[in-house]
This record gives sequence, C-alpha cells and structure tokens, in this order.
Amino acid sequence: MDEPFAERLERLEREAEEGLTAASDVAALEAWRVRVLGKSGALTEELKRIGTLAADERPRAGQLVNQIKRRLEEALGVRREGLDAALQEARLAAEAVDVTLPGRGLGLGGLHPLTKALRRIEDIFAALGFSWTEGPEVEDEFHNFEALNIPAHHPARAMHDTFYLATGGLLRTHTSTVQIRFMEAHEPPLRIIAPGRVYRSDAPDPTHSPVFHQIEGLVVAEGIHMGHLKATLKAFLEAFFERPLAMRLRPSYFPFTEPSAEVDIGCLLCGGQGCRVCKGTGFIEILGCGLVHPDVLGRIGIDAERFTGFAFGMGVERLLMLKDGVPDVRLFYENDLRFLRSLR
Amino acid sequence: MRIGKQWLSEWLDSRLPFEALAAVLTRGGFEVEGAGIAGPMLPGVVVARIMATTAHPNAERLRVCEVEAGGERRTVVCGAPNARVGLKAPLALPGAVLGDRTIAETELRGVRSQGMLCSGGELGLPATEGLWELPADAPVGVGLADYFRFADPYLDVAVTPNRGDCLSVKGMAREIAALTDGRYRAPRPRALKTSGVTPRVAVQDPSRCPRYCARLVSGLEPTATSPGWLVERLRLSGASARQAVVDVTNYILFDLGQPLHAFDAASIRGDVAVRLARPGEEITLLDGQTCVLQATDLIIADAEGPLAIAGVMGGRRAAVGPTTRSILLEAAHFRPDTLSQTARRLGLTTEAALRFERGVDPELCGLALERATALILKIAGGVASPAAEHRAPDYGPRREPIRLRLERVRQLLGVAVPRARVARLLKGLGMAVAASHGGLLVTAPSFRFDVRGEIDLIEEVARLLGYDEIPTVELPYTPGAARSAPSGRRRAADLLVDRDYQEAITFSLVDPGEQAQLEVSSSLALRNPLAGPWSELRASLVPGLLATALHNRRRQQGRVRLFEIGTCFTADPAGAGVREEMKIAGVALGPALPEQWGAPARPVDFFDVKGDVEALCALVGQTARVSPDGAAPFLQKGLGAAITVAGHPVGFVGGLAGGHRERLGFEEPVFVFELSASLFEAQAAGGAVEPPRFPSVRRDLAVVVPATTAAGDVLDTVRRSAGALLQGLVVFDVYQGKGLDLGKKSLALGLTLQDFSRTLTDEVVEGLVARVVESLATTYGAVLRQ
Repeated sequence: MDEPFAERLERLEREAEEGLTAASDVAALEAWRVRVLGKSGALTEELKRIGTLAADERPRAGQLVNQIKRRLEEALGVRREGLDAALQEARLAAEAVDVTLPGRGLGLGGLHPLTKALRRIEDIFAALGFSWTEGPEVEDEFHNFEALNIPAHHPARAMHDTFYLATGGLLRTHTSTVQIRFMEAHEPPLRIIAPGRVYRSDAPDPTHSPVFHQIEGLVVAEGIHMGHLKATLKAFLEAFFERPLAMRLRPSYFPFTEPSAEVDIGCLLCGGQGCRVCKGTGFIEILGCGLVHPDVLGRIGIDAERFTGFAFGMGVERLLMLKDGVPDVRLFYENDLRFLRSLR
Repeated sequence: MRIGKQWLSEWLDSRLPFEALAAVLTRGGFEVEGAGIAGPMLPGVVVARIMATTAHPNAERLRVCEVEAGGERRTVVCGAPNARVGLKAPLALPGAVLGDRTIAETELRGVRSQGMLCSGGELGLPATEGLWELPADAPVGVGLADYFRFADPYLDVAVTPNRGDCLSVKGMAREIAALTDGRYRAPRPRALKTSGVTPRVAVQDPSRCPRYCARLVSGLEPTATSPGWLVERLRLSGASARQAVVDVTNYILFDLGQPLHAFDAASIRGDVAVRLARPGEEITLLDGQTCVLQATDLIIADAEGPLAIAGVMGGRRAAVGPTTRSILLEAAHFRPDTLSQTARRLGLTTEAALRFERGVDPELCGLALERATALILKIAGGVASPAAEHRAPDYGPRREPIRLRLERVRQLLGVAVPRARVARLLKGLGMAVAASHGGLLVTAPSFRFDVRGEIDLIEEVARLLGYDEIPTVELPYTPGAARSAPSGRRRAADLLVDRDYQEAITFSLVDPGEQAQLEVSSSLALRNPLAGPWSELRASLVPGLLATALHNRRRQQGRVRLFEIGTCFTADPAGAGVREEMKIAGVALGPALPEQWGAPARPVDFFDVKGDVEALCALVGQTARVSPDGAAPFLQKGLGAAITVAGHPVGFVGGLAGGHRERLGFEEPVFVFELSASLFEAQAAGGAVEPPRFPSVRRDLAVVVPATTAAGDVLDTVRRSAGALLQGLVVFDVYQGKGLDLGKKSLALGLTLQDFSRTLTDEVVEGLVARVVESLATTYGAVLRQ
C-alpha cells in the first residue's frame, strides 16, 4: 500500500530537516547531502517516481519535489555556513595566548650617561647657533699653554697638573686648545662649542678623575660683550637643568680671558637656602668663563680692536653629578652596568 | 690664606663687620673657602708654670710637679720628659673637657694629681713633643684660649695666581679697603738705631736680583722665645714656631708678603755674593735634601759655596740654630722666571717661592727689613748694623701710564660707565688717574704686577663695578648651527643601543702591560704617570672594554654587551707625531638573548657579533667584507676576521683567544669587534630606486663543495657569474654530515633574479642558473646536491 505521494514527501522533508539539524560536522553534513539530495538520494528517487504517476498529477508533483529540494538546499547552505563559522571560531580560539607573558627578543641597550649629557649640551648650543668642532687630545705646549697666555714659568701652570708623553707632547689639560685651533683655521665671526676629553694628573677620588670631559665655547664677532656671555650661559644652564635658575658671575682669573668669571648657580638641592651641597652658601660653582683676552686674539692674527668675544669651559661630569645627584665621579668610568642603566 | 679679624684690623680701618667680609671678597674675586674661629675655646685650660719637680716615689717615668696657676699651687703628676722648673705649659684643671675625656683630680700611683699638664696634641692643636712649651710672656693663670685669642674669627681666602700682591694680611687689607669704603693703614717706616759695619754683599747678577737689602744683627739671646701673639699668628698661617729669629722672618712674610731669610752670621765664610750657581755645585737645604745646582739657578753664596737658593729655600750650613747669636738678615727681590724655573725643577714649593713667582712688590724690601729687625731686637735683643742696599735702577713692574678708553669699556662690558666713576674706582686701588681725550691715563702702583694694559684696567673696572651691573643681552640670532655634531657617530651608537649594547666610557690611559699582552701597544707612554695602571695611551678600545666586561661579569652580570666610541692613539712613525683615530668597538659575552621563555638559550657566537658589524656597515650603505687573514693578534685562530669596506681595512671581529680568556679570567667565549669610526662620517651613496614593474624570480641551489671552501668565495663566484640580474643572494642553510661525503659541505643558496625592463623568461633564468652552476663546478668542483 503506497502512502499518498504528497504525504510521503511531507514526511521525507520533515525527516530530512531533522537529519540536517542532527548533522554536527562537515562530514555528517556531506553524508546527509548524499542521502537526501545526492544522485541516488531520497529526493532524487522521488523525482524519478513522478513518471509512474498519473499524467495530470505529474506537474504538481514535480513542482512539489522541486520546492522541497530548493528549501532543503537552502537549509543546507545555512547549516553549512553555521558549521563553518563555528569551525573558524574554534580554530581562532586555539590561537589565543596568555597575553600577560613577557615579550621575547633582544633587550634595549643604552648610551652612557656622559654621552647623553654631551648630546643634550650639543643640541642646546646648536639651537643657540653654535657650530660643533673638536680637536686633538695630544697637544703641544703652544696650543695648551702659550697661545692661551700661559708661558713656560707662569704660575697658572701649577693649576694644570699636566701629563707629558715620553716622546714629546702633552695631554691637553682643557678644551681651550680647540679655541686656538679653530681660530687659526677660521675667520670671525665664530660661534663654536668643542666637547672632548681632557687630562689632569690627579689621582682618582670622589671629585677628581685623571680623564674627564669638558665642553668649550667660543664666540668671536664684532660687538660681542660680557652681557652676551651672561645671556648665553643663563639660556644654556636653564635649558640643561630644565628650570629657572639664579645665576651669578664672580670675578676670577684665567690667563686667556679678561675679565674672567666663575659662574655659580643657585643650589639645585636647597634652592639657595644653604645646605650640605652648597656648603651653606646657597650657590654652587658650575663653570669658568670670560672675554677672550686681546693678546690671545692678536697672537692668532685676529684684530682685537674690531673683534671681541667670550669663551667658557665646563666639566661635563660635574654638570651631570649636580643634575642627577651622582655622588662619585669614578662611577662614570667604572661602567658598572647597574649604574649605567640607572641613568636612562 | 687665613686672615684673622684682629690681625687684619691692624692694617684696615673699616666699619664693615667682619661677618660681612666674605660676601665682599667673593664679589671682588676672592673665593672664601672657609671660616671659623682661630682655636678651640678650651674652658678650664690655663697657663701654668712649673715651680718644682721631684721624682715620683713609685714610678720611674713619672715626675711630680709643683705648678702655679693663678695664685694657687697644685701638684700634678706628669710623664713628659720636658717637664722642668720654669717651664710654662697648658694645665687642664679638674673638670676641663679634652675631646671625649674629662679631667679629674685623681691619684696616680699613690700621689695626688690636681689636673693635667698638656701637649699641643692633647688640646686638639698641632702636636708638640712632650709638653707644649708656652712663650715666656704667657701670663700664669690666664685661660689658654684668652691668651692666644682663640675666639678671634678668621676667613680662609683663595688668592688667584695673578694677585700675588694679596698674599699677605697687609695686601689683603689694602684690597679690602678698595672693595669697601674702608681705610688702609699704610705702614709708616720708623728709623732704626743702627751701629757697626754695613755687611758687604756683591750682587753679581743684578738682572736676576734687582733688589738686595741685608744687615747684621748681633748680640742676640739664643734662648729667646716668640711672644704668644706671634706664635698664634704663625699657627693661623699654617706655620709653627721655632727660633724667635726664624719666627719673625716667617711672620713678616705672612704679614707684609715679603719673604726674608736669616743666615747664621758666624757660619758665613768671607764675603757674600748673589750669583748664578756653577754647574754641579751642591747645597744641602734646610729640609735635609741635597740638590745639585745648574748654571741657571740663582744662589746666595760665600767663599765656600752656596748658602741658599735665592728666594726658594736656605741651606743647612748657615741655618739659624739654638746657638745663633748673630745673623745676616736678607730682604731681596728675585726675578720670578729664574726662581720659578729652579723651584719647579727641584720640586720645591715654599711660601717664599710661591710669593716671588707671583710677584712681590720690589719696594717692599726696605720696609720688611726694618720691621723684621725691630721685632727681632724687641724679642731677642741685640744690635743692628746699617743695611746694605743694592738696587738695579731700571727694575719694577710697568709704571708708564696706560690709556683707558671709556668707549672700549662700553664695548667690552656692554654698559657705559661714567668717567668720574671709573676714575674713582681705579683710584681706590691705589692707581694714579689723569684725564685724557676719550678716557683716562692710569698708572698702576708698583705692587700690581697683573696690570699691564688697558684690558687689565677694564677687568678692574668690571670687578669693582660688580658683575651684577653688567646687563644680560641675547646674542644676535643666526639661523641654525653652521656645523652640527657628526651624526654618523651618533647613528652608529644608536644602532648598537638598539641591538642591546650598553655604551661604556673607559679611560684613554691604560695599563701598558695589558696592551703589550694583547699586542696593541701605542708606544705612547707618559713621562709622569700617576701611580696605578694608567701610564700609556690606548691604541685600541678593546683592553678597556675587556676590563669593563670582566668587572661586570664578576658582579653577577651573566650577559654583558658593551660598546665604546673613543679616540685611540698610535705613534706616528713619521716624526714624533701622534696619530689619533676615533674608533668604535664592542664586546659581547654570555647568552645571545636575554633570559626568556620560549626561545632556546644559546651563547652569543661569532655570527651574532658579525651581524652587528654588518649592520653598522649597512648604516652607511657599505658591505663588510671579511677575511680570516690579518685579524687582530688577540683573536682566536679560525674565529677571527679582518674587515674591509670598499677595499680598505676598517677593523676586525672575532672571538678572544683562549689564552687571553684564561689569563683574564673569563669563563665563557668573549667576542669583540672594532671599527674605525671614520667609516660613519661618509654618507650612504645612491639615489632613489623605483620599485620594479616586473616580477622577480627566485631559484634555490644546494651546492656541495669541499668543507674548507669559504662560503664568501662561493658567494663571490655566484655574484660574478650571475651578473646584473642577481638582485638578492642569501645562504639559507649550511649542512655537513649524513648523506654527504666526508670533507664536503652543502650550501643552500637562494638567488633572487630581477630584470627591470622585462619579465624574465624561463630560458633566461635557466641559462643563468646553468652558468652559475658551471662556474661553481669549475672553481670549486661543486656539484648540485640531489
């Protein structure tokens, strides 16, 4: 006894829909497709049977089968997309990591604190229009002393504990040598800084090092006076220490500048109240400077009546010790990684 | 230099409180380095006189002293060998506190002791041998601090080398008077009663000794002691009291700034001469050392030879001693250059030489001689002879008037100072000032050696005006720096930082032994090195970096990667010159990567560091070529390479040789590199390249070559035979072992081929590959790996 055609198709569709819902992965879905929609699948079989029906029933039956086929194919598509999405999601979920674990690779090194300070100083002066230059570390008597108004028996030589080479020559005791070398090679107007290593025969202790760094500055042009020196140093010091500073110039003596001055700034620790760092004076000595001595200019062949100028020199280690509270100059040359990394 | 308040007041009449003086001096260019009161207040310590001494009944070393101190007699047990009747010494009474010890009345081995007789050291003052023998004028019973005026405040003032005229209390007073509205009490010479014969002195070199004054003082009391005030002023000045005569000469030096010398007249043989030494003459100095003199040394001599080095130090032969009854007292002026040359050569730094070097007023000799004589006569008695006086007529600091232009003052100081004010300021310094067109004519006093020209006067104007009066004026704007710091060096440093190197800065003075060990000597030794390992200039950054690496390795740093950029030195074979070269070097040891999860821990190796070197070279668009020949001598054989760039040797890279590793104490392989930093001064060459419009083709070849064949040579051959189409060449595998004959290795090469004008055809590619294979086969016997 044959079930009526329409009912059978209705049951077939219902069972197929249930089968589709039950198919939980791609393989089951494919098996379902073959079973229902495949060449010998259930629905195809029904289509074949249409020929056995009465001629007047055939169009309606065909229509019915095709409608069911279309609906099931659609459902299959939806189901397949759903399964694909779930699959994709599962795959991506497997890629998840513990994002709180540390990253990998090389670490980051660092520049030496002195290099960082030197770069800052160079950059500040570049912004003030100063050109950069450098000179040799092994020097002769002329450039280190004589050209700077320090003849052979001048008492100021005692202030420079000089290292001499056995083969002749000496290790420069200050970067002021570069003033001379630059002026020998260039005509005014000049506006330069010259950083570099200098040498004094001082045994290392918390405030002395036989090797240390200085930055020399020199400006020679028409109309330069002491007021320009004051403004330049104030601009530099405030930029370097990143704060407004009280600054005072005290008369002092350097053979190659006149008038000469020591520059003090308001104590960075106590702000001028008086403390251990400033020995109660409220000020700390930071650098030496002055107007270029006319004899220094004249000796090089610069007309000292027409051109005037100023020069200054400062110890980089000292600046940095004051800025960052470094207690002992030897730390800079010991190069303990733990110290070097502390001043990032 | 220490200046006491009460001493200063003898020369200075000023309403300025002493406490305000420090600020005045600072503004005037004299750094105040310290301040305090002259001595400890020492309550309960008085001047006592020993009236009688007896042996201690129960102790051999102790004596029982009867002392008088302020009307009462006390018994004091004392162990000092110089405790004797008549001696005045400090007595600490019961209750006095000396340091952390309170003096009490006690019994010492059965004898009552009512106080303690003290040495200098026990009072916190300069040590004395045994009891401090107080001057004869010390009033018994008076507090020691009162007698010595220890409550008097002082300032410690630094005097710059140009101001020799301020190296005395008198000079300082004169300067302070000029800096304030005080009045300097100029000394008034007082005529001295003299008798006897004027001593004969022959000044044979008047150009080096332009002034020489001397006199005999005879009939001195050899045991005379200096009064307390003089002893105390010497102590304040950092000197100690000896014989009265010597004390007076020292005191006059600190008071007036004129060095004096006293010779024991009885020890002088024949006439005295001031002359240059004969080469090889010897003198034994007061401090005991014997010096061999040269023909440039000025001396005081008698018939037997040198008595003193002029202006530096006296000799022992005619030194004043405890039996001296007559002296030849000298006040002279010696030329600074001669004297300083001698002092420096002999390594003698004395108060006298310090002052002569900086300039002593030549007009001071006479005054100093008179005051010293008067003081000696007062303390030690005796009779003074008339003074011999030699004077070279044309000597002295420049006295011609200096023209000072007011316009020049304005030009240099940036502020116009009225004529009247300039004149007033300079007059205050003892300068003679006259009006002149556009300025002033200024004559400096004889003691101002530092005032020679207009600029020196302008400095004085600025100093007295006060630097605060000078305006602050911005430099005129000039756009940008004409030349900035070399960016190549900075970039190289940054690259190494990014590749996890920490920069170090090490001394450019190194241990010559270590440089010799590493065979990198600069041959540039210091003539006068410090104690310690810093006696030769470095020829390489490597010794310093190795020492730094080791320092850190020994401080629990397992992974050390350091670099340095700095000057290295070599003796220039041409002449006595020195070649300076900026170098950049690095050292790496320990794990290649910081300790981390998920990456296998492996030690740093040659190729890690070579990669860093290649990256440095790539910064300036250069390819580093390496060769195992010509590497640095301290690198391990087979693990070191010389680097050339564009055909020039630029440095090396490699592993430190095992011997050095062991010697220095490294426990693991250490890799180093060093390059000439001049490499980074060049700019990377080449313009922009448009991206190719046609696809490139990649072909991989695995070639089997003898294991000894250098990969670099193989790559060179590939490049040469492939020609311009080869745009990329990598080694992606190196293999030796199973599947290959012994002594063979396989190199897997990846070739990227590119034609910029057309798409490459298979024909072209196959032809090129065949050409490469062919040339590898001919050159190395290479075969393709199956």
